[in-house]
Amino acid sequence: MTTPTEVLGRAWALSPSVSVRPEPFGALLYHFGTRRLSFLKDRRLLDVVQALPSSASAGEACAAAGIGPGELGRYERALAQLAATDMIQERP
Amino acid sequence: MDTTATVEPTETAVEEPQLVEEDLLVEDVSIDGMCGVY
Repeated sequence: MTTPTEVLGRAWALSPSVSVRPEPFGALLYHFGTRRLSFLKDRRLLDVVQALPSSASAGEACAAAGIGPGELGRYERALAQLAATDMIQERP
Repeated sequence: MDTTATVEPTETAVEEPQLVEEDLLVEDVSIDGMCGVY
């Protein structure tokens, strides 16, 4: 399992089996393989997830989404949870 | 002669453990087995 401290320094992308549905509260992510539904309860987390493919690292994606240093921990843990549930996958 | 010792109930302050609720940004739900879902 990817620990939160390992997430920010790595590059990630949305899993090909995941469908994203933006919502006013954030977003719904549905994984067709695991049949898991994840609620992103923050719109900025959606921005981070959408910035992942074009960012060299998750940390860079967070910065692009305007996540400040004080909030980074929460987003770090959220990304680690998404990685643990295969919603996002590490990319080279 | 009454030798029954009575124990006065002492009011001790019970400290409730502080529940630290982390504000989770991701909530997972499994819909496997839900009716109408294929």
